Amino acid sequence: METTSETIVISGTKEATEAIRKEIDAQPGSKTSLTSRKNLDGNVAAWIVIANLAAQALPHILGFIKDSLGMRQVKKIKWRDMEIENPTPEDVQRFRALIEANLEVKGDSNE
Amino acid sequence: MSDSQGPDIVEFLRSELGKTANFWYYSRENRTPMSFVLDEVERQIGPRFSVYWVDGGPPEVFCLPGITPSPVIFSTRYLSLTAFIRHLFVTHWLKGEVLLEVTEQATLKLMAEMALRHGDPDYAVLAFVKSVTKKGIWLDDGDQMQALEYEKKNEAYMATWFYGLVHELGHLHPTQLTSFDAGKIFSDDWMAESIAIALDGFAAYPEAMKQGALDLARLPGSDSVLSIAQLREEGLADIFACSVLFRTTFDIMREIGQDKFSIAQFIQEMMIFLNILAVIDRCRRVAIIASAMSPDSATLMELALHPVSIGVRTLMLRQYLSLSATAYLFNTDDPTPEQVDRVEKMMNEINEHFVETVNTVDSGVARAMEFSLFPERREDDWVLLEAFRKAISKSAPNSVPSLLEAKKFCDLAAELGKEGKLLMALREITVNPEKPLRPDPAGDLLYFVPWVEGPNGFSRPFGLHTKHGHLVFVFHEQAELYEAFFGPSAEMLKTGFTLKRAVVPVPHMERLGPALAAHMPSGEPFQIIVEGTEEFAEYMKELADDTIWED
Repeated sequence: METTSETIVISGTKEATEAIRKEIDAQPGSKTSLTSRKNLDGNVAAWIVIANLAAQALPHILGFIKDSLGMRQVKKIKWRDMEIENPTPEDVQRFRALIEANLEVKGDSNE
Repeated sequence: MSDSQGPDIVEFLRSELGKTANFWYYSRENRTPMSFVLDEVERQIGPRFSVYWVDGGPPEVFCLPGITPSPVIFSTRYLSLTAFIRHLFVTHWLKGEVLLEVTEQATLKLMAEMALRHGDPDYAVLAFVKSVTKKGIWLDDGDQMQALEYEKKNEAYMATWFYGLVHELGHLHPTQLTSFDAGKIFSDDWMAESIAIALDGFAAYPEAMKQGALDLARLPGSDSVLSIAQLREEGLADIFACSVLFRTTFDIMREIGQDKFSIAQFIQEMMIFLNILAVIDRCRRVAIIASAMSPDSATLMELALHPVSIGVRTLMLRQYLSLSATAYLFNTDDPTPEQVDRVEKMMNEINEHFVETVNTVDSGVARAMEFSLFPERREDDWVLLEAFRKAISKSAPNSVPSLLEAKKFCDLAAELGKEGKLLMALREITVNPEKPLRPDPAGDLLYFVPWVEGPNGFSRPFGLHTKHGHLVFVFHEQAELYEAFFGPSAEMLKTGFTLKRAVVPVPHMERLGPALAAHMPSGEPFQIIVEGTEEFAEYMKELADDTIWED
């Protein structure tokens, strides 16, 4: 299978984004950044993971998000020009299916 | 592998700023006030940031300190907005009732824009029409970039343009990592004391709430706006912004030679900016709460605590301004107590000069908040829209500005891809303001209410005079319970009166009260008892047991 790199942006609570970053970092060839977003008014609006990872690893990461985290902890997931806000497990599942269809990745042997 | 150089910032910014925003990396090739300020920032903190200029996105300024170099967003919409809100504080003819009205309208419109971007488009429409219906005074709150560019380069210009940007860059300053030992300025105890002082300024807040706020402030890991660690970070970023602007404003004004730098004016601008921040943030929070069907208590608490946080930041900033202004005025790092007193007196005079204005602006914001946060106190959605339609019809005076504003609002909604039935109705009004509105109940909540009709146009919700007062029972469906209530109730009516089955559509539950009250005699108190509540179950049982009546 051809190995391409994809960028995914996930925002949520500090705990959630730290856990997601750790999971992405465990994927070979991935690059991540974790940052807070600081607003002028003094609010930490969100924590954000920006990640470059192998396309084949994307479904696994979405599966991790769906299975491991309370959905209220993840505020937004963006991939290419698609994004979902305040996703439910079903939303993440649909999003994952969309990504798989786009990438023509048929599942993840790790799952 | 983690790598701070790896992220795709453009991808992220596109996600955060939305599809309608244009943004680009700001290079400092030309000698402008902005590059001058950024050079000074770089001199102080090193080349650890990259500024992105944003046109057309949300009015937000933010930074991502976890990435190197850290992206910092400079939003022209935010700049225009701060310049506009600044007018409320400094325009000499805006006073008293006029300032109150203009503030209410301005902040409602801001809440509308924020709700349109991040919340409920239908609430956004209501806040918008309320802000422009019968509006008498028009201040330009649109894109003011050209006008702002040609303003005199003075204390006001520098604060308006760069306070937000340099504040964000202040988050990258190494002092943010400094620990503040007990007993020293900005230590945890100093911060807690400042929070207590700031809370004292809010006489209406209950003591229990103030204690809760203090506990929240000291809670490790708290993400409240009053969290000591977070508040200290913001205060230090304010001080950094102030220090950079102090130096660059002085230098630029000296170089241009138009006006002489005035320390009093500079202090005034710094204080005003924190007030501007407070107004904009309250609008943002209100827009979020008004958009939620049932906001949680923590969100409401944070709304109440944000002005307190601004109070603490002001206290921190005063510490810096007092020292730096004394050093500037008396050219000394070791001022005498008299010199310090003179500067303190000057700062107090500046504050006192603004007290009345700040209080009036606060009252104007409070009016806008009341409209937004208490839907039961405002008129029916369609009544508000119809009033707006009439206000922009051909026969109405000064209808053009409101119509143009409405078109701009609808254009922004279209750009953002927002939809909603009130938004659709507003669009129709802008296309043909002469055509009366037809309320669209699609998607409304439906309540079933037994309704009495009688001679001489008598028509009102059926109610029972009980020991609990006059009760109007409201049902979610016309099921067995409804029928059990309806039948005997119909038999209770005097000759000439009949009981009908009415359906009352309301956009949200809070509108049920006003919708029924509109048909009740004024001055006659009544309670609405809705099926599914504890009260409903209790009163129904009393009704069945025949114990609900007055002795």
